[in-house]
Amino acid sequence: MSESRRDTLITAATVIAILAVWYLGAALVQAGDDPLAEAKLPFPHQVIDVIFSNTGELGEASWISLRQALIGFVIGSLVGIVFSLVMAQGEWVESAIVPFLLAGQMVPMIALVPIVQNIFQNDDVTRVFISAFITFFSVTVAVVRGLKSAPPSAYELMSSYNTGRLQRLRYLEIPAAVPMLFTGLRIAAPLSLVGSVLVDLAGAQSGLGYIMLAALTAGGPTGSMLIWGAMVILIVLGFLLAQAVVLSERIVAPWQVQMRAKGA
Amino acid sequence: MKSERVRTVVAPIVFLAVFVAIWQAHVFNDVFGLEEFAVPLPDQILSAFTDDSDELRSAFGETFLAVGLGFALGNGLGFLLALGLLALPDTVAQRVGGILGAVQALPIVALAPLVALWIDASTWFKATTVVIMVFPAMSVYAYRGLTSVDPTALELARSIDASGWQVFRYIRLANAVPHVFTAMRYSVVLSLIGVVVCEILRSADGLGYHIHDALQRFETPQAWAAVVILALAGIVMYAALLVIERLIVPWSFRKS
Repeated sequence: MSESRRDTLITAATVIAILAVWYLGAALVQAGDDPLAEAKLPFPHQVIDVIFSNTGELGEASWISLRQALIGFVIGSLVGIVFSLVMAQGEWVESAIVPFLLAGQMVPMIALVPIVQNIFQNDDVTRVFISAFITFFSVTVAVVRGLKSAPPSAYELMSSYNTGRLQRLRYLEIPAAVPMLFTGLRIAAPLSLVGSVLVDLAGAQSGLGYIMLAALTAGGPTGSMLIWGAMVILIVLGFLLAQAVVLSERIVAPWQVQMRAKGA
Repeated sequence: MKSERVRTVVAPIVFLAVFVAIWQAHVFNDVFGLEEFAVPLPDQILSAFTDDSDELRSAFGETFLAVGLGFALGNGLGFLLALGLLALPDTVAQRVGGILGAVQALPIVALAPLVALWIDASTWFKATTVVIMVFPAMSVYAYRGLTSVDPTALELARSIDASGWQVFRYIRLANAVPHVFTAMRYSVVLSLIGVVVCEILRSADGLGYHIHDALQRFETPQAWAAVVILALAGIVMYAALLVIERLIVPWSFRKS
């Protein structure tokens, strides 16, 4: 009781401290005579004001970015799951492809955005493709790793029961891969949104990134404030997406969450 | 054991060779109905490297100056912050660590347009974005490494009357090194992403801009060549970090 109360107090104090620093910083910046000062570091309440006085524009743009990121996220996860399950069935196939998947994690996929845009010549398709592509890599690598995570003793038990390959997959390897799958999904969710928004930054004519870019080039103090609005929305949406994955793990595999809490 | 080693080496090479051969044989272009000006063939991309080597080289320089600066400053700042956290009382440090951990999970690239508002100079705009993207992870990992020391090691240090500096140098810092490398490996791709995003956004210089610009000029192979450079750079930087880590802390590899 007192423990949790102390916890809430500390959290509240942290939030207040952050806001205080923000207000102080904003006051300092705005005290100067920079015409863009308000846009460079607005007060927190000004950011909230920008969001609420532009709900129509920002809402529409968020919906475009979010919807296409989600479509891509779902497609990328499904393809990734199926792909990794099939691939794990052949040793040679797996050793041929996995190194490239791992290497893919070290590559800035974002650089593909202009290329993909150029191939499809369509903003919506590009957004979905990029989000799916980014998700695919995280999910596939996670599942491939997860399928291998069962302890050797479990394999010994399986073979002592003379189970077939499919049964081993169904009762041992797939359940063993679930926690890694969710880790991969949690990482991929905000990234798919970033991928979608990046297509806007690279020249698409709608979405949150377009608002940011337009505000940046159009300039003017009030125009530039929209960058803050769009950025806050983007970060909050990314956070919510990751939380949604955590929540769905709790629903799909509640034992996982308990085991993780125990430190297993 | 030996056949497994052969497999892990041969299979990827064969796969890559077959993949490139099929691509070169125009199969992908035919199957997906892609024109050569949208998806060029491997030999066209290869010749872009030689034909436009000057342009690519200068773009590479612009990009990797920013990557290097941002990577070094961001990781340096992150590590200093972790040292600073060490001086704070535990409850406060854990709180701050929690905030940094949360920041690390956010799509922080979204800050790039904002940084553009603050900083005009192209290189510093890119480097600053990278610093912001990279430092939270380093702080979190380094702090974990500095604090997750074996309690018996601390007891031993006390029993032989080791000084505070010695405890820090030989126990905490040594323990932090593998964590620091984990954070750096993680931030390699982040710094590349950050710089490319900035270059696409600002459209002034570097490989990210070069990709965009080459496409506008319908010189698609050049754009693909720039992508290949970025991909290879990410892999090389990552591998280099692994090699350096192996030289500095061989014991962290021997365990696994």
